[in-house]
Amino acid sequence: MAAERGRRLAALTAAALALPAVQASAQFRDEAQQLSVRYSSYGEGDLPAAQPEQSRFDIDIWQLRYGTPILERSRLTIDGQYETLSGASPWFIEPDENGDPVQIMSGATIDEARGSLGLDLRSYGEGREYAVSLGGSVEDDYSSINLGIDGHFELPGKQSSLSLGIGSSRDQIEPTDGGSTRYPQRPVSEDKSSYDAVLGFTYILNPVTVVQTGLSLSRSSGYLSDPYKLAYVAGEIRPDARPDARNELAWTTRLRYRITAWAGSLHLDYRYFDDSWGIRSHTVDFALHKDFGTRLSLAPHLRWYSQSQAKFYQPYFLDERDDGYYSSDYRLSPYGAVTVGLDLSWRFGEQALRLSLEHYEASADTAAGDVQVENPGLVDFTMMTLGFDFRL
Amino acid sequence: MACPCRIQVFHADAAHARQVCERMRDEVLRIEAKYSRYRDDSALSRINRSAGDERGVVVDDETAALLDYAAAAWRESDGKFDPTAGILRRVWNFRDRIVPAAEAVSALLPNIGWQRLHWQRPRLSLPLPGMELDFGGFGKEYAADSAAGIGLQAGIVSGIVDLGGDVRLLGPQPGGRPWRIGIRDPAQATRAIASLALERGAIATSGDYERSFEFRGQRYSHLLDPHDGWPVQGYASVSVLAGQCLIAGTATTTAVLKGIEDGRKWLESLGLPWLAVHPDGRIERGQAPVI
Repeated sequence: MAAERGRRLAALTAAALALPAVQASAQFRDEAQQLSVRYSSYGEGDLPAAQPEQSRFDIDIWQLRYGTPILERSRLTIDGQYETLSGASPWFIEPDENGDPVQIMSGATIDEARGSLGLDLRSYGEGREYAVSLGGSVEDDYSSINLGIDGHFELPGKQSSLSLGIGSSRDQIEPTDGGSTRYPQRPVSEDKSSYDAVLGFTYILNPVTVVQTGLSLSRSSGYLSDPYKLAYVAGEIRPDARPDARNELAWTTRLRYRITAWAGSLHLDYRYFDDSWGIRSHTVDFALHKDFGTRLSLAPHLRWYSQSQAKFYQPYFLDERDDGYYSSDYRLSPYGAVTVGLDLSWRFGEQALRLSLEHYEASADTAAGDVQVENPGLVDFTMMTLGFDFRL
Repeated sequence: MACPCRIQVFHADAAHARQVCERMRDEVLRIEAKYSRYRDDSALSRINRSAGDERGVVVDDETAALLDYAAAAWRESDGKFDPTAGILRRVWNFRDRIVPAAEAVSALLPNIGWQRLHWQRPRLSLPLPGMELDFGGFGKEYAADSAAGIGLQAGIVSGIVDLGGDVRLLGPQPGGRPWRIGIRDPAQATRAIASLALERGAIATSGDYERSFEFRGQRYSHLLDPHDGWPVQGYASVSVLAGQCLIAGTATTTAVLKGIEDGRKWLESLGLPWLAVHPDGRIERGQAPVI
């Protein structure tokens, strides 16, 4: 019955979609102008054991998105984001008299603002879609521009589609106080560039099940270290130093299953990541989307993440390394993380109110492998987002 | 069309709305003219006139796609959805309430059955002289989808196409209010037995409305089983929700023709929301909760 269920509907739908008029009505493009506003408040949990004891980052994020039909069969989307950040960040880790790692925080509270703008022009044709996107961001010590193109193609039979995309970005880093007498080892100006390519395949198994799988490859080169982080190396404090190239591979598979009888759907995602720095990670994301009537939907989600460490990572180094690479950044350490969240969306007329709450906790305990020393700088955070969508 | 039809669209620019509405109406009229049994110049009449000629006729792309759809619907419905069954009207007269002789019904059966026609895109042949195609089971639904497609492509996001109860929505009413779609009571056609709030998608209803009759204590619905040519004893009416009116229409027509038990199984196998009215007026809803 379960196999029969949906197969019949799929057969009818495939036949109906071969009718040009039905196709037109099934795949119409969105002609409405849309405006979305989001405000997010992101707060990192304090590190009680850190020295000096300071609040970590609090970030306020404002996002605005506007989409409008443009030209013949195209749509332009403009994204703007502005965020302000304040707090201290982990600086380096020192061993105490027992050899236990002690997190030293950046002394001063950082106050920064960052603005970014993105444009996406998407063109629709019969069973295909092409897009060009351009974006940039600016902050005091960092600027970045990126360019990308992508395409989606329906494959014969309309049961499956293919996505291809390539992109590139260039970043310019001019660290605050770089080369100053206070931080002589901090670089004055550096840059990095990266290229990426994605290949995706979507398959409609039946009217209620869609599977998507994709491979993404990227290569970054240039200055890939963190100019504000240091590492304890054999009693000396040295700048964070990482290889000047990094190749990354990510393989993502998503499953979407609509539970018709329950007015909801199940989302299950898995991502495998592997890079040339030795980090390997697994992400499993599980979400349930449930509609309550036509107005309200709720989506609780649970995510588990686990990564292994970079080859040149240690909480602190008692000996020098031959290759000269050192990093004690918690983001390169072995750890696991669990995220729980809830998204709520309430539609009224052409408008929708969105609210989401997310809590993230990283620790050595949730990692897949055995972690010998947990990085004391691992982050916990809570993020709350409030948003409105308007159709104009 | 032999039914009350309504096309209603909303757009900030009233002139645009009017113009789109007219194009949608023209599309419905175009499809009706093309697939009408009553017009000698229709594409369908041309096909039916060729019955008995093994060479058949070459059909255009739109007709070919509709024939492909009909073939899929026939196959998936285990032969209950059959556009060749229309000739049963020759012996069943629901207006004058006459029950035909069993021999008269049986005599038509050799000319019924989608499996008897030869459909090899773009050529269709009705090999037996008595065969006839009837697009009544899906032409109206297709017209609703096609008209809606014109509206959606012209930027209409609020509107309704209602072709005698086969409804396709282009989006909620202005202000986001859902449309209220009434389901007629099979026992009393002027009364709604249920009412649904819908914003988009399509709904189609098949039922044993005014055209059924009772004769010597036996109720004869106008819904005829293509396999034996006799009225089916099934649900009094079935309404199905789907993305396209065409699919909703096929789902409901087939459900009514399959009888109650098999009809329910068919509806459940599709996984679409549905609502059925039993002959005694009892309402049964499918497990999908929207309806």
